[in-house]
Amino acid sequence: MAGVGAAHLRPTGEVLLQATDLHVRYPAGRGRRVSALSGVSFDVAEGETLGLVGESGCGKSTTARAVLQLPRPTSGRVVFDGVDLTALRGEELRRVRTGVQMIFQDPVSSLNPRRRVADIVREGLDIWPERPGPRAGGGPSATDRVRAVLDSVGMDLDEVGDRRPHEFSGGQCQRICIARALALGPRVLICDEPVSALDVSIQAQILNLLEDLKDRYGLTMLFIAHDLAVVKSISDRVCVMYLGRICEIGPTDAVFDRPAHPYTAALLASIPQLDPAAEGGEDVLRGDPPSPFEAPSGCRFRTRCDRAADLCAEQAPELRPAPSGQFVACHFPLPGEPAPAAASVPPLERLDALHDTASADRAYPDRLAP
Amino acid sequence: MNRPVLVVEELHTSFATDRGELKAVDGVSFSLRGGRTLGVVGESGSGKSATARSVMDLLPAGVSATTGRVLLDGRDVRSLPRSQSRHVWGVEASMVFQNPAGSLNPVMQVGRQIAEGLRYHRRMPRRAAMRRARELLEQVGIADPDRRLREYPHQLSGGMRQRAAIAIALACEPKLLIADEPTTALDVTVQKQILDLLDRLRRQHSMAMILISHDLGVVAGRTDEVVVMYAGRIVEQAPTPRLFAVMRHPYTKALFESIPKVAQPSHTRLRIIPGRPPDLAALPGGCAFAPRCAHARPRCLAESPALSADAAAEHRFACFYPAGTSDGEAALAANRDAGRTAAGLALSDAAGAA
Repeated sequence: MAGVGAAHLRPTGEVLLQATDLHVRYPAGRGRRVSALSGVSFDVAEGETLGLVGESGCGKSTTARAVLQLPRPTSGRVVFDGVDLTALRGEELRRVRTGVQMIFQDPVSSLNPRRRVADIVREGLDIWPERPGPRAGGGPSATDRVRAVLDSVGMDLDEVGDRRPHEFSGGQCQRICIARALALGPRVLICDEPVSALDVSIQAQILNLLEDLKDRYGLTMLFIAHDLAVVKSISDRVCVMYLGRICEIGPTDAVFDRPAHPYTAALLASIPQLDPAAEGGEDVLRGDPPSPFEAPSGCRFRTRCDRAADLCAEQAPELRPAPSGQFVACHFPLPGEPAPAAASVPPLERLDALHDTASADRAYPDRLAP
Repeated sequence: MNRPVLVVEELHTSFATDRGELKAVDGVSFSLRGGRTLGVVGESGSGKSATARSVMDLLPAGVSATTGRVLLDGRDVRSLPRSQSRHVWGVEASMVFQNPAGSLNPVMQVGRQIAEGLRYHRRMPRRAAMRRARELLEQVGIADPDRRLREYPHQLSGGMRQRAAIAIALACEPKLLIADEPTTALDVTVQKQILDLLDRLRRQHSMAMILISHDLGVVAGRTDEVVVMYAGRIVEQAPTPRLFAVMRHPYTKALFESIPKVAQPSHTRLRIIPGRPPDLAALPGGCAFAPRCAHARPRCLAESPALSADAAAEHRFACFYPAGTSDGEAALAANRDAGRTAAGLALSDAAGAA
């Protein structure tokens, strides 16, 4: 089966991470199987951030986990730095996988409540003592290393090392999770909804921190979020998913400003506008996404799509180039008009000088609070 | 429709915790007329949900204490005896919650849940109540209502469950509907459907509505007036178009500026609010936002600013040095010169420009 095509993939030599034709199926009781991913292919170049967006159940998190072989995809390949992870087993897999780390949506429950922060961050180093490369900086000992990664997320080992996770806020717990992920000097950081459980004011701190760390350590990121504005803000390229397949993938500004897939356009039109004068617009999408047990034939979006024709029911569209530089899986793509969201400017005039004050803005906000 | 449907005066709610008294709502007053929507914005711990639950008398009596007046259609509902007040909650005023799965009874058919209020409060016969339940399901946009009436909540999708919860809330034709983060658990496309639905129903029924959200975008397009809450207090209140054009409170402005916006190109550096929301059990003296505020002057640490009127009518804010005023600019300039605010927050001119 052809999946949804691989025309959008770049030559293997140019990318750090490449997934081809990933399928993930789970047993669902009574002999039924549910398909969470059906032929997803993408790649990420070194130093690039790829954003994954889509509604719940579209396969964003499954994709992230399939990359890490958690669990191993039903079929398909994941090549990281020239090594096919799907072909590795046991300790060999675990060793290579130290180069790909992950942070999660709920930072509090991702930390063991009984352990001290210093031990949490240090654990990976104890398991892989030989692993630390030059990437995370710091001196030769594991403690130096822990100090360096905590420092890079704006925390001080002497101050926080002996404390336990419940003494910290959600934003601080996310910083600890990031420090733990960085301890082994990974090349790829997978972020699964890292800011959606955080308050708006904390969300900006973490997003800025991730941008800083990416520059500092040359990280490659796979960034999952359901909030389109968050994904746009952090990604170089973006991949829009629907019901286990990719609809559209390409440079962030192209996809957001000139969406080619009707689903992308509908998502963008659903974003609440920050301008009270903005027109509400009509219902952009009716109903809910279909159940993955009853995935429509052909194009999976056709049951909610205005442009659907007979062809859409018969043939699954393959990804092919769209005029603005992205790739789109649609038989009848949009001509590439600017999206309404991109056309409207926030109502406040750009107030440059006013609140951009704290030097905290660079990296260490929590610590600067008096 | 000029008489206010809801008047809240000097509402205070506190919780007894093992760390002491926690002031969740600290002197909140507002009023709301029929057919109008009030947006309540704030982060977690700002008191937006506690305000709603205090108004709805939903807080447990043992651990919380509420004072203040809540007038619904001119009646002081907090002083009504239980025998009367139980025909107020869920009837004249009802509420929709964030998690629709949690607000529905999992072992009761959807139709019976909608009809329950009608049977109890309106003494409607069973068949008439079920007929009305069917109409309500149609009104909230659920396809195939005859089938859905007999289904259980787990058979519905998240969006449909929220529609069913709205149908229950509307069954007795309330004068006031409070929607507490009604779309936070839903996907963005479904969010738009639900917000559109609430808007339409509010107009059809000339209800007053309170829309609580952490998302300024949700509030911007759907409300007539907005209150911004911080640490249990209203810090700014204005008609929606006015608020989004002129943000006076440094917190409102900073909150707005810290949101990533789809209209900006990717990798636009976000403004941040340093620090984090205050601990309600250990609030600083003076203005609760002062430790995070670039405008903070010595006065802000000593005195708590009252919510006061601007020259422009209907715009109120609680700040000694509001943004965009000469006082506010002078305070900011003085803090910049000193390199730090009165609360000790370090400032630099270049920050945020990167």
